Order: sequence, then structure tokens, then C-alpha cells
Amino acid sequence: MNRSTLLVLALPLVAYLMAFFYIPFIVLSYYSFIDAETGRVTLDNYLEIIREPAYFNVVLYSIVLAGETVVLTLILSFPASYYIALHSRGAEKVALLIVMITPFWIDFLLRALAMKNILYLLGFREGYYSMLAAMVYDYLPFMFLPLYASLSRISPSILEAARSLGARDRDLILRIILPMSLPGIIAGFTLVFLMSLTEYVIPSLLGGTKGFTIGTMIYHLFLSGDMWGEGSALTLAITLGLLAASIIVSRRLSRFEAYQA
Amino acid sequence: MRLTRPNPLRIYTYIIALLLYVPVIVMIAYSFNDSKFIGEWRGFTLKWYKVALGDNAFLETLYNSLTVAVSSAIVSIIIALPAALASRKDRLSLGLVEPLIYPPIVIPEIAEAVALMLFLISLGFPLGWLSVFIGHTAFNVAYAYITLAPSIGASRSLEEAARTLGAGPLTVFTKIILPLSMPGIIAALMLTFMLSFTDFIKTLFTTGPGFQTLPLLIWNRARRPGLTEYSSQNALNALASILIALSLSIALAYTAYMVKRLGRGNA
Amino acid sequence: MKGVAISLRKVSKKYGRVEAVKDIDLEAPGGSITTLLGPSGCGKTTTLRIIAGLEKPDAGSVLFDGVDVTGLPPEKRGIGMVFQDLALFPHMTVFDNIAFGLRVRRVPENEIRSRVNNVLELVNLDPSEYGRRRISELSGGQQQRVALARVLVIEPRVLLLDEPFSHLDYKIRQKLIGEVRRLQRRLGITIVYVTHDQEEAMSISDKIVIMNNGRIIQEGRPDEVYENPANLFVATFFGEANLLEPGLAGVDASDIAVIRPERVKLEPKDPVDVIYNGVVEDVVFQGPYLRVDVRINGETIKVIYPKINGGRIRVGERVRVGWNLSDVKVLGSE
Repeated sequence: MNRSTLLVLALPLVAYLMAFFYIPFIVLSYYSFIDAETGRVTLDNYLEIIREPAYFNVVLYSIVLAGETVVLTLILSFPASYYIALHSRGAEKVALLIVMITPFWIDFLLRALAMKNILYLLGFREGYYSMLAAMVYDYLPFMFLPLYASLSRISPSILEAARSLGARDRDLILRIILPMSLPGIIAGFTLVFLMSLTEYVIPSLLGGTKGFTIGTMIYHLFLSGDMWGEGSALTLAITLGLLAASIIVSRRLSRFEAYQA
Repeated sequence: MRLTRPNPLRIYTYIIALLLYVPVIVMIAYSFNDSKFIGEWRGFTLKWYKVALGDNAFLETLYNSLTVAVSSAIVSIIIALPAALASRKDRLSLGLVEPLIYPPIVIPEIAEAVALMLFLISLGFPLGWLSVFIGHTAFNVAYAYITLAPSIGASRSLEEAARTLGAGPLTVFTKIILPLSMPGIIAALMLTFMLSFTDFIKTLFTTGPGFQTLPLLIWNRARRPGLTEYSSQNALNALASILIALSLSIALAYTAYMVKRLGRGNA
Repeated sequence: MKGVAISLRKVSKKYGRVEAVKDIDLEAPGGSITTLLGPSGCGKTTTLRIIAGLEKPDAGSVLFDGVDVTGLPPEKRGIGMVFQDLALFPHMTVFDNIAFGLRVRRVPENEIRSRVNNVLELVNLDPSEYGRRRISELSGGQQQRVALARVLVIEPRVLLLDEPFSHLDYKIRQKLIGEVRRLQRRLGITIVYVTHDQEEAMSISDKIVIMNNGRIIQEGRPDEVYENPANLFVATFFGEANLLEPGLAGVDASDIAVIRPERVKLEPKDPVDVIYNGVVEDVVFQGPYLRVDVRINGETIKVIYPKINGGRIRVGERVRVGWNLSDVKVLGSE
């Protein structure tokens, strides 16, 4: 096959993404520069989201919530992924991996619903900590998987080599295990942070009055209210911010992994 | 070798594994509770399953979700497969496709949902089955591509070997490339089906009046658990349990398929 | 069946800016084994792929028995090719792999069965035991035999082998090379064989073609090439050679003079043309012979010393080394 045939093969995918992914973002940015009442081009929407402290507060609040989710999922899943990657073997390892991966197959919404049930049974009602608990519960597998992937790359012979060179437990953890699992930590951190920052389902189900996050705010700006201009400006700013952050992280990460390999 | 005594770590791991399942198990248990509320246990019943199976809204939205998910999975594979094949062979196609693939995966779904909604509304496009399908397919093509690209096709020398043995390009495709790509295609079908079937955000923004999918129905009822038979907490738990059973049996069938293929040294 | 003669006429091939093959003329006589030998990147694999039709030459033509096949796709050339990575189809059994070429030729199924079984026996694999196996269930040597059977079954006029034995261990490699020779004699087909291993090339070839940097440097019978290397590259790549300083060789100072290590005589009993005193730098035991490095006038000379000559040679010992001028090869500069 020659090059032009191959390009024709790639064309449907490129065209579909252009039509239903990239062009919609151009439309979004168009709305962000338009004054809803006069229809004129304006920067007011952007100025408004900077000027109005409510926007800033919601963004900050969501960053704190996402940050807490990330830290808790990391703390909770690191020992488990470490145990499964380096200390379990044979049937136990397979069984534990299946157990940790199966939640991916259960709908995110259903897991949030299950969490809502059990919190209700335990006497917790909607609020910040219910919301946080459900976030941690739903995102834990997303942190576990990249951690496990990087920890499983540490072969027992590396640890044995370190031992033979005189390393104690402390040295193993600080000088071998943590540095080698760093790519997984960064990947899991980024993944969970990106997803939880704009999470909508959990704040809307479990947040109650504390559930006013970026996700629910965008919902209200577009679907309850009619503030498309400011909503578009906010959405675009957050999108570009997250895209830039994830590009920087993935560049660093691939360089870091190339260096480790 | 053991780094530390493994027992505390092991116990911790088992506790975490268990905690992942406790909420789901409790939900399934209460779906058999003979009460409308989860707070009180009144004995075993199957009535919530009868309620679910007689619930027209459930059956209708299940049907909607299935038709959207199946169509979106198939169409996204039809769109992504040729691109995956092309980019494997040609750096120019790769350079064209790869940069376009990652934003749909990285960008928050709520942002792409809003953007697509504005786009469709400004075109005057009617919101319903078709707009939801278009929205799901927009992220599915990206996921289909990244699932297919590494696993698709045959190595260059396998194709060349088939050519030197006398096979023309079409035979090479049907006898070598397609069979070797099957695990990737099945994996991509599974992933895109599940992504669409469980999608909430994209559907929320791109659907119109009169068209609802199952996740939307569940969300609506979960937000305001009602007193009617259909919307009570335990009726919802039964509904959720049916869906969990459905996803887990799909997962099991898929795992069995992959294990069988791996067992044949065929992955 | 008589194998076809292959000719390349002024063939060139570029990949981007890299000239893989530069204007080469090549003859592979029908019914014989021609080996393309050279270091990696010398253009030997590209040449083979051009013969197969897997690459289109930028210039020049490919002739099979005098007929121009340059524009013919690989499936229409009547060739068989064994790839370096074997390229066995992982989703098919041994039987289906071998039957592939026959099925695409629409050979009836009962004829396929007998031909596949015959060819399996030809490569020493029991059809009833191996036919239904998966490729992943075979050892490296068995996979090699299946790859060979898969091309032999279509009775190709030309068999192209691209370093097919490079990943096998020494003993199996020797055995399979012997089998390829026997098969070739029995079937009378033309084989073009690509390798970077000079020992393999010596033992398998009727004709050897030495390539470097996309050009053919020398061709001929293996023994001819070994005895009369055209230049220093051939002398050092195809076998070992001592490069002699003008003072040592006893020849004109402007020429390059080399001598094979086995032609250098250690403690010669018979008279020789030149003789030097030296010191033993290193001795390596190699079974039937010793490899001895001797330092003479600041130069190290490699010597192959048959054990049968007796005597013990120790590092640091003073020895006498000499040779006959007729064993010194004077090469053109390149």
C-alpha cells in the first residue's frame, strides 16, 4: 500500500474527531468571547470569572477536594500495591489482582450509589466527608493500577542486589522502591487528580450543600442557569489548564522513564 | 526474599480488597430486603426484582443504553481500525493521528460534553438518540484507537511471508491480519461498549427531552429516592444489582476468552 | 526440476538519503547456493528483498532465467523465502502454516494433506506428532524446520534464506546447514543465502558474494576468495589476517601485505624465507590448535599453531617466527 492509501485509511478517524470533538471546542471558545445580550465580541466573560470571587472559591475548593482524594487514594493503595507486586506470588497474586481490577467493570455511578447506601446505613448523610469517602472509594482502583504497574517492574533480583551491597530495609525503601515507583505515583496522581477535579456525579449525589464543585458549577451554568458565556470561558480555561498540565507531566514522565530504562 | 515480616502488610491488603466490595455486597444484600428503605431489614424478598422487570422506565432506558452502546462500539471500531492499521505502517499517518487522539482522553468529559452540546444546539441539531450516539462515539473512537493500535495487524515479516508464499493483498488481510487482530478488536469492542453503556456526563449534556439512558434514570432516582415502588431505595438496589450481574458476566466471558487465547499461545 | 538463474542488473535502492544498494550486478547460477556475506548494513538483506520482490529497486532490473521480473509482486515470482525471525503464523497449527501456500494456490485438500506430510518427513518432523501442534509449542530448531517445510512445499524455483539460523545454537546450526545442502542437491533448486557469519558462508556456499557499504566487493568460490582476498576488508572480514608492516613483510613498502595466521610458522623446522625473534604475548587453547600472539619489532603477529607440532608454549617465552614470501598476499589499497 502506498502512502496516499494509508492516509485515506486514517481519514475517517481524523474527520470524526474534527467534526465532533475539535470543532465543538472552537464553538465553545466562540461562545466564551461573545456577550450573550448584545452578541458582540467581548472579553467580559473572562474578566467576570476573574473578578467574581465565587468562581475562584469554587475552583480552589475543587482543587482541595481533588488533592485530598489523590493523597488518600495514594496512601491507601500504596501498601496494597506494594504487597501484591513484590510479596505475593502464584495464585494469591492472581486472585488479589483480579479482586483489585474487577471494580473497573462495575459502573462508576453504581459504585457511588453503593457508597451512598452504606454511608446512609452508617448514619452519615450528604456532606463533605461523604463526598470525599465516595471519591476515594471510586478512584482507588485508578491509583492502584499505575502504582502496581511500576512496582511490578522492580524485580526481586534488584532488591537482592541492593541487599548484597549492604542495604537495610530503610535503604531499600528510600533508595530503590520509592524512586522506582515514582513514575507510577506521578501517573496515578495525575490520572486521579484530572478525573476528580471535574467530577460531577459524586458531588451531586453525596455532596448536598457541600457539593458545589467545578463539575456541579458547570452543570448549573449551562443546564439550570443560562450563563453560556461565562460557563464557556470557565470551561475553556479549565480545559486548557488541565491539558497543559497533563502534557507537561507526561513529557517529564516519559523522559524520566527513558532515563530509568 | 522478604523485606519485612509480611503479615501486617498482607492483612492490610486483604482489608483494602474487602473494603472495595463491602458497599457493593451491602447494596446487593438490601436488594433482597422486604422494605422500601435500606435502614430497616424486614426479611428476604425477590419482589424488587419483579418490580424492576415490570418497570417500563427501566426496560426502556436499558434498551436505549444498549442500542446506543452497541452501535457506538461497532461504529467506533469501524472508524478507528483503518486508522490503527495505517498508523502502524506509515509514520505520516501516525504523526497525523496520534496528536489528535490524546485530548479526547485527557480533557475532562464535562468540558467536551458542554462543547458538543453548544455545537449541536448552534447547528439546530435535534437532541436525542442520535446526538447521544455521536457524543459517545467521539470519545470511543479515541479509546478504540489506543486499544487497537498496539495490538492490531501482523508484524511486517508475517505479511511478507504470506506474500512470498503466494497470497495477494486481500488474502493477507483476511487470513493473516484480521485473525491476528481479533483479540485487539474484541478488547476495543468491550471497552467502547462499557464506556458508552455506563456513560453519564456526555449523555446528560447531549440528550434532549424524551430520551433517557439507564445511568440517567438511576441518577435521577438516586438523587431523590421516592416512596413509589419504582423509585424506592431497595428497588434501585435491585436495579443496580441486575446491572452489576450483567457487567460482571460480560467481564467473566471476556476474561475467559482472553485466557483461552493466551492458553493457545495466541495473544 | 532445475533452479532458475538469477541476475541483478545495475540495481540501486535508497531509503531516504541512505543508499542501501549501489548499482550492483549479481549472478546467482541456477541450481547452486550463492551466499551474500557482509557486515550488518552492507546491503545484503536489501538485495535479497529485491530478489524476492518485497522491495522495488529505484533503478536496474531483476531477471529470472533471463526474464525480467522487476515489476512482479512477490506472490507471482514463484519464490520461497525463510525470514530471519521465521515469520511463522502464530494463529495456525504447524500443518496450516505449511498448507498456507498450497491453499492460496487452490490446491485440492487431499493433495495438500499428502504434500504437507511428505514435506514434514523431508525435514525430519513426524507428521502425526507435529502436524497439529501450535507454533509456540515447538523448539527453536523445530520452528526452523517448519519454516523450511513451509517454503519447500510450494516447490519454489528459488529459495531465499535471510539469516535463518542466526538465533540457533552452534550445533543445531551446523546440523541444519548440512540439511539445507543435502536438500538443495536433492531438489536442484537455486538458493540465495544471506548471512554475516563467515564460517556459515564458507560451509554452505557454492559461490560467495562479499558486500560492504551497498557494493559487491568480491565474488567467487569460497576457497578462491579465502586464498586471494581482493583487499584488506575481504582479508580481515572473511577469515583472519595479520597486516604486515613494510619492514616485516619483505615486500615493497607502498603495498598492503597480509598473511593468514595459519601460514605463519612458529619455531619452523623447515627453512623459511624470513624469520624473526619474538616474545609470546598470549596463548589461547582452542582444542586442536593454539592461538598464539607473538610480539615482533613492536608488532603483534597472530599465529595458529597445530597442537600436533608438540612442545609447550608459555607467555613471555622467546620464540622464532617465520614465513614464506609466497604465503604473503599483497593487496591493492582500499
